Amino acid sequence: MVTGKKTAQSLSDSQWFGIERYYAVFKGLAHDTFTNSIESLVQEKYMNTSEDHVYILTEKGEQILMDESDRLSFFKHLNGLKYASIESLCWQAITLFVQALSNALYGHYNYSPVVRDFSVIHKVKSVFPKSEYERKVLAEKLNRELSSVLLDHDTQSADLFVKKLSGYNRIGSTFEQLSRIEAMSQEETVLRFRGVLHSLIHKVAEEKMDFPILYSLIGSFTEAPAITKSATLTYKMLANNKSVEEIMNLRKLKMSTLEDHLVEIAREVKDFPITPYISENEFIKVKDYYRETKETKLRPFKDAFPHLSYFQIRLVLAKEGGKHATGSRA
Amino acid sequence: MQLEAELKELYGFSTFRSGQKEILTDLLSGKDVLGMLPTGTGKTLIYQMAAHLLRGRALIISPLVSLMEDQVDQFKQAGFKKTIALNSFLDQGEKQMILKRIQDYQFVFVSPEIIQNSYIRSILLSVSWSLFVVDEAHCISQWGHEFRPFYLELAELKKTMGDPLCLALTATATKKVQYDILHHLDMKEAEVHIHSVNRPNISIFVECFDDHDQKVERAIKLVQQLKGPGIIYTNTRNAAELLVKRLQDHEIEGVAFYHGGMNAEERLLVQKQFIESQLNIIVCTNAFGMGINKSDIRFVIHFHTPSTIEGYIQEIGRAGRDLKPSVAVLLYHPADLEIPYHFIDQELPDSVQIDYLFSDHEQLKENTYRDKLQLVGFSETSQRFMEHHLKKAGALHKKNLDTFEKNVLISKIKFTIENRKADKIEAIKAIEKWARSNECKRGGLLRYFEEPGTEPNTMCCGYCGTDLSHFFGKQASNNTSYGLWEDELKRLLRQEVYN
Repeated sequence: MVTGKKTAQSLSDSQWFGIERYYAVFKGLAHDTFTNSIESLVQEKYMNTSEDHVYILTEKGEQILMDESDRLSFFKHLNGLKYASIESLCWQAITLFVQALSNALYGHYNYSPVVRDFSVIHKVKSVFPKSEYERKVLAEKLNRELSSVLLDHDTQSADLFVKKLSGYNRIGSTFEQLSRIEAMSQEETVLRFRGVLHSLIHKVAEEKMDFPILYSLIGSFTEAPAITKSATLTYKMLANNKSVEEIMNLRKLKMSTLEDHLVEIAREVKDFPITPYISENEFIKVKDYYRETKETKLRPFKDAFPHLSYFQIRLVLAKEGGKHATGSRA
Repeated sequence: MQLEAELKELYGFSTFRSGQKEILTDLLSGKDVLGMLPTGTGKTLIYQMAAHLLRGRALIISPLVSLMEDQVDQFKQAGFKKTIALNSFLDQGEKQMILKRIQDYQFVFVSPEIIQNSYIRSILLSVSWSLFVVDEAHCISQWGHEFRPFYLELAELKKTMGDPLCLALTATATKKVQYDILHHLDMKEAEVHIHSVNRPNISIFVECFDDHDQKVERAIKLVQQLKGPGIIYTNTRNAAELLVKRLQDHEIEGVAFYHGGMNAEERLLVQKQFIESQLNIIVCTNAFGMGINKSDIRFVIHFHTPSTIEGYIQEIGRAGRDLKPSVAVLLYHPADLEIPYHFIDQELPDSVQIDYLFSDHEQLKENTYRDKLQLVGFSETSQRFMEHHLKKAGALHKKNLDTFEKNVLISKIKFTIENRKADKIEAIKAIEKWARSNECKRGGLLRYFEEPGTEPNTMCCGYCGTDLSHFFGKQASNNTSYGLWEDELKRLLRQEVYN
């Protein structure tokens, strides 16, 4: 879950336990590092282990979270499940735009870009102001928009975010450098930065009228449903009247992969019809059962509707429960 | 004289560096060229100008993907905006977008592996080409220090492309390798321009250590004394990170590590910081130092001994591209070469893997050799090696071979591997011998390339009595610290700061 693995299990668990903000907080974290951290927390008596792989906070653990709650308040800005898939594109568009604009404002046109992603470069080029006058007006607006986002954060987080930006006479800092300058762990710098980024994306998506410049940069990313690249392609192919079988053959995918895609799409795209995969009648029955029992595990559904496949049940749960049920087999 | 005028117009320089004009003149008169020019003497300029003056398109074969992206950045910054790199990092959509617009590009960088892809090949063949550039051409020779089997297929591609003008470039090719380049690229009537590998403005020092801790202490001391900017090479990522930590513990600021294990975005930031002189020193593994094009690097320290003399020359060649006095210091320890020795075994397929590939094992049975290769779990370099040999034997797309054919192929492959290993061990021994030898260090390097030595010179090397203190000095630090984020944001966006 914390590494952002897109499996039905990790997605549904993150929602079921109400920890979706931490989804993908540590992309690329090694399993060993994770277990070592857990072990050291147990050794320091912040947690107890009750049974295998189950840990409960001790009083000491609760206490430190209370004592540190001010410092850790940046957690509340994280929204991993919602933004992990677009945060990198959004950040790259913003940092490249600021770098290009900043250099242009100082009459420096031959700078070396800190971003290489094709689609991002394309995006930034398409919205970049052509005249000096436009650039000046835009710079003022952008300053206001960014400041308005940054003022929601403590000084340390705002500081990190600005230091990560590149512009005239300065290339942004790496997380490793920031953690040394700020004397905090690299993990904390990453989380603080991502907290700011997520709150920025959220604000821009929710209040687009107040953030016209940032919206022009990242709006196209935030509008797209938060599904994986591969599932997006499946979605587009379906929209182009390709059948599931055709997609399977064309893309050489396994049925189970395609089923995962459909569940993902059903969860994220409100008007996606699932009746091609389950009859209207069955759909209503399963839906009612879900509303009555509030059951989220698949097994009881399977027992109640033995003639339906797990896939069909997951589809209904994704559609209906959305947030609270994607169906874990456990 | 006309070429000088073009040079001035394009780059603002008034004179060519040694070798550039001669090669350019030959190319413009329609002759293929093999050019060996010392590191950092502007090989790129030659084909940039040639393509520009020929008003044509250039295909550039470059061995390192990381290097290619840096080259594209540099081309664009030099004003050659119609430049693109085709590499395996691009996703399908990006590839298609580029390929659709292939006729709009003037410089196209490709890796020898990606042109194996028939789709990419067909697109490349759909436009006309004026120049076929083989960069780091020594990779074509198995005697070269970075042999890449797919380089051997370039001649055939060149022919299919209608034999455009061919320019093969390298900084480090022994006589044997030079012959191989001409032969394998089928450059029958090429003009050959061989210049000395010598870089007179780089003074060479080798210090030998028996004790690792002493070596670390020495590296720290050197970094404190030498005038930057500088590069320090290590042979592993881990060693690079550890050394940075040690330097930082000694309050040496402006130092960062730079290697392939880093997140690409962060790595790019470090590289740009160094180029913009926000960082004074980077500590990197050899593969990742290649793309750094900074003209004022004053020192290169080798914290570990590289595995070949050619590699060493390439790496110290990062220094002093502005032709000002610079220094290379190698800190030799006998254990340095244990890792390169170990790499030799890793780089090439082992016989267990080969036997498994050709076995009748259930899991492999129904696959072609191409697919079997994926299933065996070779290292990247081993897989490339095997793919090349299977292709050459016409077996790549077959599911099986008859027993006789198979046995011949197996023993041929194993024999080649043993020879390659022996060559590599030979190369390691050569650099080891050079490092420990008690003689003029420059002379030793030149002898390896069968070149005559140079006149005695006070700035030659440690053996010739050069004083290292010539290279001491303080580095003016480009301080980028600031106070409030509000003020920095305003500075970036050029807003008035009131306080």
